[in-house]
Amino acid sequence: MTPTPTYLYYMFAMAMLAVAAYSLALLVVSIAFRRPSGWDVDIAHLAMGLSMAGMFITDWAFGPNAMWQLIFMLLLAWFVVRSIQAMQLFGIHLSHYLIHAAMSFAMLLMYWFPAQSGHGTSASMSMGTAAGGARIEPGLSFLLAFLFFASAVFTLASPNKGASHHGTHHRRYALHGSTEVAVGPQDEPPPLTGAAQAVAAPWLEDASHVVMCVGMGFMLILMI
Amino acid sequence: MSVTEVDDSRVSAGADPAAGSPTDRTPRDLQRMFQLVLATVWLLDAVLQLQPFMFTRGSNGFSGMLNGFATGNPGWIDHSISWNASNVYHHPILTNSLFALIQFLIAFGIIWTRTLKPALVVSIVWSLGVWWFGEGLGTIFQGGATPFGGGPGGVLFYALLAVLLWPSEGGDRPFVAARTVGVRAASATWVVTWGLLAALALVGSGRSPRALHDLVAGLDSGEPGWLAHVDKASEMAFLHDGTTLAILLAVLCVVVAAAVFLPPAATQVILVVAIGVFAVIWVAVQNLGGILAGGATDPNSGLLVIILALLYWPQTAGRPPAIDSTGPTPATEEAPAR
Repeated sequence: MTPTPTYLYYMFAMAMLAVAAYSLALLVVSIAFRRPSGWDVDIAHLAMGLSMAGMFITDWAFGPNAMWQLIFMLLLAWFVVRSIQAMQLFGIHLSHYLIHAAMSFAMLLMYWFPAQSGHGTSASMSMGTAAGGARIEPGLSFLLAFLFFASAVFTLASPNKGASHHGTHHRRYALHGSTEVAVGPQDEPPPLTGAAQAVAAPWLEDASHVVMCVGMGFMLILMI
Repeated sequence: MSVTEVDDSRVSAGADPAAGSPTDRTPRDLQRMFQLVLATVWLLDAVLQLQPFMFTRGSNGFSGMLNGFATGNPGWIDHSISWNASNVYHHPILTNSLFALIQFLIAFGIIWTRTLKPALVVSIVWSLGVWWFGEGLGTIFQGGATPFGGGPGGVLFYALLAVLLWPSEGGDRPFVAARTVGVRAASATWVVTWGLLAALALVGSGRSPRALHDLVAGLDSGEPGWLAHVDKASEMAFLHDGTTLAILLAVLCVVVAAAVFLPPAATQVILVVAIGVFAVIWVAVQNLGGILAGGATDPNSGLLVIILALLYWPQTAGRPPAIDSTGPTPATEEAPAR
């Protein structure tokens, strides 16, 4: 049963589905226009949006838990590898992949430790009792939630629109994966036009990340 | 297609080798960064307001929590808090949704520079309102406003931070808090704040071992195992040495109050100690505001005192004055020099 007030959980579930739908549209644009970056984040947001909508509203959940766990394990591994690659190329720094790795990890936690009644929430987690009553470590849950809220705030405030999906150097580096290659205008992917340009507006990409961060942070708080 | 990207976080933090020499970069706007930290805390508060128990009636609900702050206050304050709790009791979903919405608006308002000032004004007004109607004036009139427990009220620090972080052009020297209100006013605010904390550590039940023990003993229900163990240690420490600890905290607060007038190196040492002590208090006594037990509306004062202390961190050599007060420093897109 969805806890009171139900409107709240439907609202968050709708927001998650909206992010998923938007991410699908972005993915289509990325493929059609050979965009070199951001597609992995689109895939992650698509999976997270669909999965979390089912956590907020049980009836909207689909697919076995094992499938979702496998998806988020692969995403976690992918983003960790990408972070390591970025550090190898550019030295120790906070790659934007890290926040997506943290989000994938949080999704895994949600499946490993479904929300328990009696711990301040009865959120409609669809994962049943797979963890056999184990409770997520509240400190870790709070830490991740705070991290996602910070990511949402600093993403919105950043002058580098679209950085949540692409980082900030993709225009020069992304095509070659090298720091030593000078990238000219001729190497850029074809420019976005028409509806694709509107869909892939950098501020919209950031907005989807912000919505995902807030939704995921809320779910983690509910699971405490 | 193989792609490699780099995030801007290190660039704006001034540590990206890809950006050339450090002098090529605009320094980070520390005041703006702290405004965003404040927005993050407000966002956390807004989400905490959406927890299911906040929408329920009864002693375990939000209205019950509010009613608990009424007891022990002077009659007219008691009545005003009870009136507010009654409204929440009769319209829990409406009122709590409204409360959460206001906090979301404050958080997102601070993020956008166009709405920053109105959001800070609302945050000050809201904080004072919550301090009165939601925290019973920090239990000052009940004699239990010890800084160990969050006295004089965690939410007051939101208002104080909003004032000190009011946007203005200029540099972050000698410390960020002085940028808008000036060194003299910022220093006076610092002295008053820490002087108040020192006093509250000693007056009323602030130095009572039993009261301090009960402060922690009432919190550990529902906490994770490791924090419950920490609570037990805190309870015993307070029971055996509560008065001594209260006096030590008061002495520390007095020293911290004076730190703003000392040389930067000495100030930094004292601030590190203060931050460390309040980090311990935040975890071991305030239990992070009770968030980990799933029954909190805010992170309590420990976190905010730490943020306040960081606002007074001396900005000495190596950091030129901030230029842009409208937002984080734009990241460079120049190729790395490797």
